[in-house]
Amino acid sequence: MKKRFLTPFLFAILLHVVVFIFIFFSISFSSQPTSMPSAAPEQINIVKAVTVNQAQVDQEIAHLQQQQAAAKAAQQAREQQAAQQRLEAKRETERAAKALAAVKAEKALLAQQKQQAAQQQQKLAQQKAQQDQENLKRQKQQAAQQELQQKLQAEQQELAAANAKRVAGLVNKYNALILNAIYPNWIVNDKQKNLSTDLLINLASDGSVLNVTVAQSSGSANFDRSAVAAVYKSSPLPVPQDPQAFAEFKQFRLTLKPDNIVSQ
Amino acid sequence: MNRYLKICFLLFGFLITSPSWAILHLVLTQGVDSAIPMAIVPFAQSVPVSGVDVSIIITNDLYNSGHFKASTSDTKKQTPHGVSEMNYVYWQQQGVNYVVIGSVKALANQQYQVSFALIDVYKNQSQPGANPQVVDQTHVLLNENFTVPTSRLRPLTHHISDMIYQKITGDKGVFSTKLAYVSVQHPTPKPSVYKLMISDYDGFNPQPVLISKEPIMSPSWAPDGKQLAYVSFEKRLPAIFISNIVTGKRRLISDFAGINGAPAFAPNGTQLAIVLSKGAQPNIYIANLSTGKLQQVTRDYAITTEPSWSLDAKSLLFTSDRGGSPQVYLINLASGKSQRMTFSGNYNAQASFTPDGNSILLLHRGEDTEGRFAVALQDLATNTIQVLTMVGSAQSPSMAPNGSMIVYTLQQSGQKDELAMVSSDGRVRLTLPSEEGDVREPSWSPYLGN
Repeated sequence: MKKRFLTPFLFAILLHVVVFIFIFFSISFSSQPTSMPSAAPEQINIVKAVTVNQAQVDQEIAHLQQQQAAAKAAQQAREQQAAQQRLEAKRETERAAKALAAVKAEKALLAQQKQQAAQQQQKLAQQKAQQDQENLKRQKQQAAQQELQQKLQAEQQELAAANAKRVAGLVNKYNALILNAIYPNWIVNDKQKNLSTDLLINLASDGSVLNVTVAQSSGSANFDRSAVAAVYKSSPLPVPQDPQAFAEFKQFRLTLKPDNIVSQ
Repeated sequence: MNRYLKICFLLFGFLITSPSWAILHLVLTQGVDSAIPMAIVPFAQSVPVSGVDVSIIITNDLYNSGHFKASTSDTKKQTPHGVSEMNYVYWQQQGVNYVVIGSVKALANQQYQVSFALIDVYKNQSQPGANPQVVDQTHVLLNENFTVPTSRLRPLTHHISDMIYQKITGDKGVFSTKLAYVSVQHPTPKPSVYKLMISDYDGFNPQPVLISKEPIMSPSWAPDGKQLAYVSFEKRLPAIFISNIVTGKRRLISDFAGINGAPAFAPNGTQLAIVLSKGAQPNIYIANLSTGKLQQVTRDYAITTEPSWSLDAKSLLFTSDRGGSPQVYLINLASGKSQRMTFSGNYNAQASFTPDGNSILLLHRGEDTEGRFAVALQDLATNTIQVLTMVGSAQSPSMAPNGSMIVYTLQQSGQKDELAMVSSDGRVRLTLPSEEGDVREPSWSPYLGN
């Protein structure tokens, strides 16, 4: 960036030098050392005092006037040039200032950008921190929630287990009661010891036998009949009041195989 | 959160109800060996037939077997005679498993039409909403119709009992079988009269085969049910005869000097085991009935008697006092080797194999009978003895061909000898009706083809 302004700067200096040199040499070409336009009228005055030949003088005067005019023109040119140069310089300065300002502006922009970036970074960092915190919070929350759920689950499980245990206890109890109710009605004999039949039994909620079906016949119609009759004759069967436990007995399978035959 | 909980509850719901996916399964391993309750509804009978009440005969038959708590229904409330008149709920409330209904209609020419049905009070499959007017065939196990003359009414009734018995128990009934026995009348001052008799299994319809003024002993059925072997003293000395009860023809088998006794037909009917002493100790012989050849089986110096064939005819049970007291032995006919079968009690005799071959029926006396002679069954697997008769003194036990009942001579002090029956489980005991005099030495016939 500096280089960009350096070249016009140097060029401006070089231009000044050249202008000065040019001014210097133009002065040395003239016979009159006066370079100051203010000094010329004094010289004219001095010359007047020593008058020789009017013509000559007139010539001289003309010449002088010519010289003066030339000088004046030169002076004017120089002045114009100087003004030009000054303008130029001024422009140059302005330009430099402008450049500087631009640089400055740029610098400021840069700084601003930098600041902005920093700010953004900070903001990001802040956001990140916030997010992290939030995440952490959320995780914590989730963990807490999970824990709660687990607790709830455990509680539910415990409840379910307790309920299942209660139901299972009832089912077991009524299993035994039902078998005890049916067996005295089941008439079998020793010849039927190796037989076995499977029944499907449907009960009403009061234990009344609604339906008995032979699901798996023993192969002996007599034996199957004895089993079916035993169930019907035991109606109503003892059943639990608890609806959940009763549901187990709504329809159940009963295998009858006379391993043990009581004589009566 | 809420949704999560709901899902949790749902899951637990499944867990709780999961056992209901698998149907509850109960196993009953105990039953009772008792008589099956059944009701016999008095048959509709337009004209009474003297001496034959079909319902009562069926009731008695089924009751006698020991398998049924059979009773003739005496209610006027429910008297169905046809299947369509059955009120199943009523009979279920009576606690019976089966109902027998029927009718006897008098036709022209002394003919009767008998119809009956055996009904299972509990159906195998209920049909909810079924029209009660529509006869549910699953209830009806038997539904039959017969036309017979008056004389065949009683045999037909026994036949119906057989059908019912077989339908319910799966075994052949013995209500159409016969008994052979000896009756002795002691009219004063005339000499005693001995009769070889045949009657229905229940003692009804007695018919003489042989009448003699001398003792008759040991009747034994041939496997064909048409011949009887027996010992007759009609020539003052014992001799063994075979009578054909259909043709009345008679054949002398043996009249050796000394004892000729205890004839027993082999299962194939071509051989007869007998006991001969030939003037020395009684021993067992086998008479070939087609060739007349005699083969000696035992050569004992003790008393050896009462041979009875094994089911495979390869060995004989017999009684011997070679051990000091009468006990039952089994001799292998091929090897001639014998083994003692009874060890419990101081008197075991008159042994025979039960039709299933699992036990020995015998006359037993021991501490378990308090010194009485009793009918008993010895289990061949365990050798345990089950005493079946508790009253009086028993003699000559003989088993029905289905093994369900045993007939024997019951002797009670101060009373005539009579025929008695006990079911093989000891549940039912009864005495058979008899004419005047003693009745003894019953022998149960095989199944009779008729």
